[in-house]
Amino acid sequence: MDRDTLKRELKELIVRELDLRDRTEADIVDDAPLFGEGLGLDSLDALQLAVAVEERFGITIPEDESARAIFASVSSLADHILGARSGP
Amino acid sequence: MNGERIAITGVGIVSALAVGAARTFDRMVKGDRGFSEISLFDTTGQRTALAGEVRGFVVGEAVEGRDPSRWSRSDALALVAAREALASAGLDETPRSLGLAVGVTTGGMLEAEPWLATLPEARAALRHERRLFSYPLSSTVDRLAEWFTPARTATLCSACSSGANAIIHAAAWLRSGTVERVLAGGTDALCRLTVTGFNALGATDTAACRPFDKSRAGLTLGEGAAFLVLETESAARQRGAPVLAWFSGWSAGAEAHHITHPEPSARRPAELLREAMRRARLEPSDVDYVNAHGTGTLPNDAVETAAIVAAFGPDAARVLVSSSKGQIGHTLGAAGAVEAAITVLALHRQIVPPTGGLVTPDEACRLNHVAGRGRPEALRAAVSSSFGFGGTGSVLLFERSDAEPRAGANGVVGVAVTGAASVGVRGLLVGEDNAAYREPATQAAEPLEARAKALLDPARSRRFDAQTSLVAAGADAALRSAALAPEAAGLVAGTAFANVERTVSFVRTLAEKGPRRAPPADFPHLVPSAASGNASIYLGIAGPVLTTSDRDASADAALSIACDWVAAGFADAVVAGSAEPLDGYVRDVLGPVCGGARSAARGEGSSWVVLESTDAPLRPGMKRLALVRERIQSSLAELDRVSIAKPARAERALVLRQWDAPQIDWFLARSDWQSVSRLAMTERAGAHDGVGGFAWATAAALLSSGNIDEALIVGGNTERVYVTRLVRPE
Repeated sequence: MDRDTLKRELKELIVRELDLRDRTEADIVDDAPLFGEGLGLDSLDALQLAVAVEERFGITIPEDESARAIFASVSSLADHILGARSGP
Repeated sequence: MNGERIAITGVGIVSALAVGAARTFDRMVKGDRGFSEISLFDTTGQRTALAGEVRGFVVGEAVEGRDPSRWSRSDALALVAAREALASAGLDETPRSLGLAVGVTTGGMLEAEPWLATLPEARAALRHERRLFSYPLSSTVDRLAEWFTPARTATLCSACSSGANAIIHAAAWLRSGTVERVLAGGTDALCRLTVTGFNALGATDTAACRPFDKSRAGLTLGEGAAFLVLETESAARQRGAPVLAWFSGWSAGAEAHHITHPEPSARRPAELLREAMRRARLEPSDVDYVNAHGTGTLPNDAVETAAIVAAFGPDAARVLVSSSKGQIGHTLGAAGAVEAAITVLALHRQIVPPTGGLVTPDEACRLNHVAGRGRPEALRAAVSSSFGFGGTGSVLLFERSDAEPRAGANGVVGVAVTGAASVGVRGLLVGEDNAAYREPATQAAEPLEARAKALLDPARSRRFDAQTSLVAAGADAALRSAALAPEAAGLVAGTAFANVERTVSFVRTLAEKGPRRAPPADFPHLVPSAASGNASIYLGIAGPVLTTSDRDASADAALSIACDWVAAGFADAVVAGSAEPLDGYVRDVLGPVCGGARSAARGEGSSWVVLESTDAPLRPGMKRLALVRERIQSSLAELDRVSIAKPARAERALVLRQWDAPQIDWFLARSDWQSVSRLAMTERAGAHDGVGGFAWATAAALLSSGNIDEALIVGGNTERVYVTRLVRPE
């Protein structure tokens, strides 16, 4: 899967899993912060998203501090998924 | 009993440390901890399986020959603790003038999980299963009522403060003279749902929890039950019962912040601590011990410390603090009651139990901790705090048995209906427009969920299911009709079965994909108190937030509890009612098994009224729609003893009733209301467990608009009946 397709799919997943009924994929900017300001997402959303991403892409997201950088934006999340899939 | 003191005359505890209050307390004082790997169910794949399980507890033995398939583990734990409490109070098992108030959150979930996971395929087969009787949240009250034959019952759920709120509810009954004594407590068995849910939230410590410690990393779940016997001072004195402690102060309220995270400033919990002291007419300098909520999670313990510091001021450095959860775990719905019982024993024995697992207090938790072993201290008064999902908090304050009585408390006040709203077959109706339900109606074409969601802000109502949406939309409209600010109100919501569809989905994911795939954010949205908790945050409710359940009479139960709290002065105003959306599993399985004899096709609806003290001054835009005159709850068996005042003019009165129960027909036929015309509410608002709320809204609207002078609302289920007489204001 190429990076752009992955990012589009991630945005769909975010809208669906986090029940962003008043938003669409187009409202989510690739490099904008996912949590805190902007979409108004919180740590509960991060947990939900982590489980959904793990299941959909068959990867593991660490429970430690590094998760914060992975979930910084749609771009960083896509990079992590691509890295984890092509990794050792 | 206006102003009379409330005595604690008995306690009973079942915990991971022991079956029995004295044995539990003895082991706590020694510093023992009751944690082990869960043996009750498979925990493969769980982040942690460490918990405070009550080892060796067998339901069949506890219920002594009664049909064990009808008793859940939560019910049986409650039975053992309740029997101990009555015995320690020197009472027999069926004392007269007894109230029964039970706080519970998991209820029969442990037994239900296996059949819930197969429910989509096994609808027909499950329609005859007796074990479904233990599923509704009200099942503990139903089972214990068979044993103790109380005159009044109430189920209270507010997540982790449920047990504390049952004890506060006892005070409401005693203050109003409804009963002379109350068996009040809480119970919760461990189950897959809560273990998976708290693990998925990352809220659990993988080692044993360490409340207030620098290295704390989460909570450890537990199970158990505790009951207290509370009596009016005169009732206790009359029978020469020794007093263990006095129940002198309490408070309950919500912070309207977030479903799982405490609000960082600790403003509301600090206010609740101060309010409990104020009600007891005590100063911080009079209190010697705080049995903290102290879960062991990073945010809870730091915020709770801030609340204690803010409420106690300079005395925060002196007052002793410990959390029982380091020894018995977080027992959820039972916790408030278990910890209240421990606080009573601490005062009675003059020993402070320690915080298990606490070695190095965190900088953010600088308090006068008791760690290691229990410490003998001269204790005059002690506080027990509970804070739950949704930011619902309750504080209880007890005093040593030789405390001097102080100036008496206020008496009960009259209750007025000041607002009404419904979302039902006639759409959204506000205030007097609810009089439209006097006429029969057909079911609406559009499901109510869509109607409710259209009334809510989508950004602030994410993950709201149909029930939560209907609670938020209905309660909001009712508050507006009363011109009442949400922060001045409490919320009491009835629900017969909570959200079965979402619970089935969660349990199936767990069974099919394992605990690591359970959706974390779904968990706080499917606990029984989720709808009221989420709606309270959405609306900004600051008063007490409670969920209750009584099967077909769930709305009637909510209105009854709300009236009790307003009448006793525990809340200035409460919006109360219920929301029952269409749920296929309720319609096909749980409704027919657990409900009464009802023939109509299942409907849905959400209906709310605002209840306030008749002493409350009139605000601009506020009108008293109706006054609550008589309120009776009776078991069906004792309905023949109930009498209701005769209507002044039968042609200006109206009976609003729910199901076609022969007992209710019989009751009305021999009452002074036999010739009064009757409305069958299910033919107007649909057949569902919240139809009692429509009866209240309709009656209030008809009274306010001058159509009638008096209304008698009769609701109930297969066990009990609620009868309320409303009259026109003036």
